[in-house]
Amino acid sequence: MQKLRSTLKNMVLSLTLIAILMSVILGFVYIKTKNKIEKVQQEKDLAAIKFVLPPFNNDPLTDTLNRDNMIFYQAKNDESPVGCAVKVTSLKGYNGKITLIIGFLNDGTINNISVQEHKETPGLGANIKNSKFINQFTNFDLSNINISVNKDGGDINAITGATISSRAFCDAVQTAYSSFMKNICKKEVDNICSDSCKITNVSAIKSILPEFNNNPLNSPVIINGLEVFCCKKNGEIIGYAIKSYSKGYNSNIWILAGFLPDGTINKIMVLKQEETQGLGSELTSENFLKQFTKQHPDKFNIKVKYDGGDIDALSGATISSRAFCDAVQKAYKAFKSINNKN
Amino acid sequence: MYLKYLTNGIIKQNPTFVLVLGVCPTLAITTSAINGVGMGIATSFVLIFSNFFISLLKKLIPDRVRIPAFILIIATFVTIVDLIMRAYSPGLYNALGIFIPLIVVNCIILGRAEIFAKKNNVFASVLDGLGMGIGFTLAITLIGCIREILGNGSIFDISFVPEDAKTILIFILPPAAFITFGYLIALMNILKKKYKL
Repeated sequence: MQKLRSTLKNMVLSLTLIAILMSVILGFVYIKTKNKIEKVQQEKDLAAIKFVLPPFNNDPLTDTLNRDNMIFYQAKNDESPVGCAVKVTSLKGYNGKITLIIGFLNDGTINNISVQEHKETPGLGANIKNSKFINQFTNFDLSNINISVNKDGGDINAITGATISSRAFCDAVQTAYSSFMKNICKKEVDNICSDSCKITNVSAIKSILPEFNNNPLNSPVIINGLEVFCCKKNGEIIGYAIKSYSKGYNSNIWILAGFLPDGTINKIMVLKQEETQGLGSELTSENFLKQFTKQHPDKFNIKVKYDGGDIDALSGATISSRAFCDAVQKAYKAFKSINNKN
Repeated sequence: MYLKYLTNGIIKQNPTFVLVLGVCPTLAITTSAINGVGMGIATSFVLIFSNFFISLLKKLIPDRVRIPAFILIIATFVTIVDLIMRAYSPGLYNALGIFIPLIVVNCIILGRAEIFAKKNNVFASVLDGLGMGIGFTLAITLIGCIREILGNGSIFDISFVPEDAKTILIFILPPAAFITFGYLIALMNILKKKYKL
């Protein structure tokens, strides 16, 4: 057979024929692999969910909630919830998308994180997969820490040479965590809004900070789960009042701490406590509270002496004193993150 | 006679070290040995089938539309590789990611279609595709091995240094792809001269 000559008719016919032939082949392969590809993706998700959560016996792929454009896979063991896995994507990676599956336990702690998809630099950003990095997020109460890299004032040690990747990772975790707390685990939000110690009167803030003339109650910010009120005099920030809490001997101890712009504690007041009368309840005494007054948390150790710190615990109420110190420290952390942002 | 078509691509006209074709995937994906193997196999698959179809249809393709016709055929098989990998080897698919579609513009494939398949019979073309594929796979696996050993302290994902050991990080970054590639071409030239290959 002679080779076809390059006439218009031949060219059109030839290309059409080849296009049809190739489409048929492609269509055939597509149909053959379609189901398998879907199954592989589901298996991958399920494997990741199993990896990030404690054992469960339902099928979380069919038990999902859609919130804030994220899918929450609910894992249950004999109908009692064991946790929730969230698929979350950050677009801030060094080379684009970073997709994580994060396993939250019911109380909001992260059980484990699985990196599903990333294109970070091998040897640098790709180390977000290392357990050493991931362990910074897992198995403790995240409300106490600032989920961002230390360069941004947070508590997460970034991977050397991969700040951007670490930042994107933190961003994804923060997004998932906030959404989980807001939608699934409502406890935290209830805590912040618990009416019993809601600050409705500006006089409480007035008593712990120097004079100001704005209304800080108008614009509380929530940092690490704590309410922060910014106080200004003639537009200039003169301090922050931070509402903090910690679990005391009987129930949560709620305090309001006043910080000056340089971080010095101006004064602290107790908003609410249910400690043992005559022992833990002495937290409210002037003698105990004045230990914190005009002190800078970087220059003295806010821990009871029993734990190696600088605070004299109330005799017979070490646990209450310890909780109080913990609440102050939480407040200081929130202060540091807001101060870094400004 | 036919054996020559097969061995041609492995040393004498190795697509990577001698023809220096398909440099983009060579430099980009050779961060680990397994990536090299995966990319090599995927490219070989496309190469064999595109050579097969092009030599089969060569009489039907008028000269002036040969490039679009070749690309059409190549793109089809690249998409097939993409689908098959996604279904049966998701791990490798994750690693090679965006480079699979780029096989379409790999010069080795279009080059072999243009130089070889459109002039030779089906059997010879398939052998040529196979030989070139093997040559390409060996070459990029070698680069991948060197970079993975030096840059990550492992080979085929089997690590032989502790997790926090300091490795020569630059070897998994793009600059060292050029360095490794350059030294290997030089080495290949020396060997070719010495043994008159």
